[in-house]
Amino acid sequence: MSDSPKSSNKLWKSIKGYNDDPEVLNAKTNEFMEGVTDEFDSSKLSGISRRKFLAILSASAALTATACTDYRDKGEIIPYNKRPEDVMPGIANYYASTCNGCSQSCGILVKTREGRPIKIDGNPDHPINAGKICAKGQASILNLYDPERLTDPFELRKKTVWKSVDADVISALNDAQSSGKEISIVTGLITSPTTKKVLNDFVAKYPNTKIYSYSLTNDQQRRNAWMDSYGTDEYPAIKWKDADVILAIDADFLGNEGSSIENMREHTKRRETNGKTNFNRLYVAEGRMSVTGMLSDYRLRVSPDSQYEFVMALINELNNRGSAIALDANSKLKFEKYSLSKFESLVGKDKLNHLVNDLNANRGKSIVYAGDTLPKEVHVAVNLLNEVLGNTSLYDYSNSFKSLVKYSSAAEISQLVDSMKNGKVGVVIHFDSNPVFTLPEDFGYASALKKVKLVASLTEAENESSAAGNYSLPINDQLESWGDAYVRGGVYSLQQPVISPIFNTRQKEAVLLTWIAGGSSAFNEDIYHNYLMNSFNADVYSKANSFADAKTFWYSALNDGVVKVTEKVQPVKFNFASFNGLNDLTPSKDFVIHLHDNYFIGDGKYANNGWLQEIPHPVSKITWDNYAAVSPSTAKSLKVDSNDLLQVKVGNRSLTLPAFIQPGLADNFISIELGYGRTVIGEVGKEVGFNSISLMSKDAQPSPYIFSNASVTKAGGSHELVSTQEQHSLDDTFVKDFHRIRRIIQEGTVLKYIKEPNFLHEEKEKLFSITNEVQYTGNKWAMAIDLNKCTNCQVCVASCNVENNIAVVGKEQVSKGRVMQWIRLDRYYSGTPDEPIASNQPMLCQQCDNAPCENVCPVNATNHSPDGLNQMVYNRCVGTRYCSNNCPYKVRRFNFFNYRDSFADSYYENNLTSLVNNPEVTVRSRGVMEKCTFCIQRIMEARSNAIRDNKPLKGSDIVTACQQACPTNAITFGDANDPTSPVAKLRDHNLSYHVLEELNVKPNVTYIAKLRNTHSEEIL
Amino acid sequence: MSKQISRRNFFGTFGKGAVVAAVAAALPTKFISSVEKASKKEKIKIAIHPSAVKRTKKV
Repeated sequence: MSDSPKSSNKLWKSIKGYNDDPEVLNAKTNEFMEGVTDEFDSSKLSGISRRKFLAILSASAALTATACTDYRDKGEIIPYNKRPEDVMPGIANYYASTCNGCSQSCGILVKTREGRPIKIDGNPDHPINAGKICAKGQASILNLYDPERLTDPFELRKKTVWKSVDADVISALNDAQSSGKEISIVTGLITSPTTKKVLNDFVAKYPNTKIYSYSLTNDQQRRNAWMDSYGTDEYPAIKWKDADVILAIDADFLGNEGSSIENMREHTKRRETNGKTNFNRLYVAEGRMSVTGMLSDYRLRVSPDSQYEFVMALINELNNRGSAIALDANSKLKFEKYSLSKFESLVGKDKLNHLVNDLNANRGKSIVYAGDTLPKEVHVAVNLLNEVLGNTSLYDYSNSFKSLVKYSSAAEISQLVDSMKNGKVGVVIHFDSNPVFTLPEDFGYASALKKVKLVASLTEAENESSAAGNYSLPINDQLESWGDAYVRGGVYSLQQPVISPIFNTRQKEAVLLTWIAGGSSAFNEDIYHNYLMNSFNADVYSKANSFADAKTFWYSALNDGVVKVTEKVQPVKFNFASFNGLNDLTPSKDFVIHLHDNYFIGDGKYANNGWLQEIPHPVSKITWDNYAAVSPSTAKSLKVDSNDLLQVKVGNRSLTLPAFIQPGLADNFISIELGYGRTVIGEVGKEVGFNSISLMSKDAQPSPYIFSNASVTKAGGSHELVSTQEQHSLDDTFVKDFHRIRRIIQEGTVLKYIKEPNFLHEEKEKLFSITNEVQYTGNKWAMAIDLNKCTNCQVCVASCNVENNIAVVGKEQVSKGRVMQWIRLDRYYSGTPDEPIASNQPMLCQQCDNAPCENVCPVNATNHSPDGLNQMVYNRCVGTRYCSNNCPYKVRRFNFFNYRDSFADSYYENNLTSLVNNPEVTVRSRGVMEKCTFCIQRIMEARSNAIRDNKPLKGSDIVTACQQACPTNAITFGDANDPTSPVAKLRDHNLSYHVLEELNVKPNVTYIAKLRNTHSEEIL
Repeated sequence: MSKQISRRNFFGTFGKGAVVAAVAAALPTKFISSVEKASKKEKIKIAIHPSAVKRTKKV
């Protein structure tokens, strides 16, 4: 192709035409192309006459029409013969219960339709989680309908019956008891006082029983430190909202650590921009890049192996400026050798000065908080630092974290393994636990298990531990179970079944009660129900001082899902011996490996949940994998890029996994998430990611999660990591601060806002339209998202998935940019790769008034409703994808396949999993475009109720799924035409803006600009 | 150079194709394929738990 056209203003269709090729010029002069009639010889044509052809065509059409009647059975819809009590077709019922997905035992509210649970949200009456739950809790409803749940008991992989199981196990228990062999029950954390009683009863019946409690990620280091410092392992909650300054030390308290839902809510109470701007200031000192780190006002890159020195140096510096507690001479000797000067070059002198000055100036109103993975030594030092600063007034002992059954130590588990190896254990019961996967390999648990005569695993689905045993015994899902929880002081939560067991499963406690009773005939569906009621009446009713009788109190408690009682708080005093006796920790000279909890799949328990695997990682946006996160500098020194395989060695243990270059990480430091790499699990979670537990050791000191002096080398080869954020990477020179140039992310600082409240709108030009604007006279639906409150937790994504029947597409499809989630959380960086400033932004259909998608749809499948919604008519959509092509926000999602059928060999295409679908939302099929609807089904329900009640429809009548789930109430929905509505007020907020508003598409999602509480008017 | 097909040839091919398509469509392929997935298509019986206490508060 030549550089310039040979003649100007010419039209051309091809390169040949552009270059004035004679063939093209000649063709233009001919009426037909040369040879157009070639091979048109009637003798070569078939002898079928036109009449005959039409006859055959008619016959084939008739046959085709007949064949088309061969539809698959789509089921039947028939009215109830006898309607169950409490069920009104089309009307949802709600049941209060308790989630048992993790150690926090949040209160939940389960929505059911015609008897089947379809949505889980937080219980608004629960004092701890206050109506919100995490992404795991939201998506856990899929576990109830997992097609690979165990449906019956199995003995050596063959289906059997409970009667036979009971007889065999009871016989083995009696044999073990009579022969003096140990009976071992291996459980996770016990949060239920009644389960604890059942275990005690079991021990009473079979005195050779020992209980072992183990959890892959836990707060054991914190509890141990608290025991040493204060004589109790029940540590207090933190009054986050009262803290003016927070220093989080490798603590992801706003991400996945501890009571994160409660933490998020309390923390963001100090991020309000309505009324008085009374922001707290968040410092985060961490090696990895956590959600909390992304939200910080100042982030200090400190590797976890240096945190001990860092805290000691802070104690020294701040004690020199005064102390709220009298320190003894030995304590001073302990910390006086540490100095912050070492950290000045590492984290920057200015940041360090700001931190020290802020902590000093806010004594009694600040808090220092260490992460669960850090060694006990760091926690004890932090306890002293808070004492020195007088911050103990921010400890809330009335809400302390309770401890019902203590975790077993590594020595106790080693003892169990030794006993198994020596044939001293007769029976092992895995009580809803999976130690073969979660215990470090060097315990030798899996091989020792082979020496045990009877291994019974109580589990919802086959796992590594059940596969290594004799009996796989199916237990009820949490939505089929009775239970209680006592996790926080003064708060008793109740769990109730909202659906009868779908399969031949049993409540796990009922199984033990049957074995305690000594015969299968003892089992009945109410055995644990009655036990729980009796236990509840004895322990809680007696404390509650209720005027109601016990039965009424029980039903009332089930209705509410929670009972609050007043408990005495024991005063505690810091024990200096705990600090003075600390072993000093020294930083690593080589690589540091930090293993930590993942955000969505727990200890691997949720690995078979497609919704959770597909939610992008809050920081890296990677789906369906874990990886070795390395800093850009470290990647350069190792000569690796993202996806290159790294071999990580700790002692004699090693793991090969892909690298991911993560901005903001400490150098010579690798961060890896736990819980991935399951091998015995359903099709969805099998061999997804890499099992980083293989790096853990029974002898790991001082923390089981942090390894110093590790070696890391490039292993050769690669593994593709799939990130939803990086799918459409832009050129580096252009992408630099791209989001600011396009004003996608608009931010300021608190100081700037106080000085110039209208700073965001000063430079804006008023946009005008060349066409007449549509006037919305009735309701006009709109949303506002406060970026000061959004923590990037992804709970909105999980909630939207469940509410709107979003399909799981799998890793390969995600890699092609075909993820189906209607709401995504965009993460932007600015600054340098070493010291990035992260910004988050939930992005969903903006429901534009001048929606560019609507103009280009050839069949009017996407159009505008009178109440301002950009709506989709699925039946009209012919899949041109023009709308998606024209959407500046890239929020439309196309069904390239029928994903329920195409994903994982039709894993979710079955009669069981389809029960999870929300009946109010169409299940979209192949070839159809979809996107956020502002939960149109909820709007319609509210409208229907308003019409029935003869009331005007208000924005406050509607709560979208993402809004309902948001732990920090960052999302507001309502009627923009109602000037008194919160959303209308937020649209007029000084900090409000629209993304890409210069396009004049008039989006109806308003963002409240994020303010950073730094010491400057400029963002650092 | 593209192959030239006469109108009659085209209709002949089209007619034969239609016959083949009609016969293929008449085969009970969906029925046969559904036999393989019979285990996945078992009817699931669901029932509200008789002891569950429905929430009476407005959500």
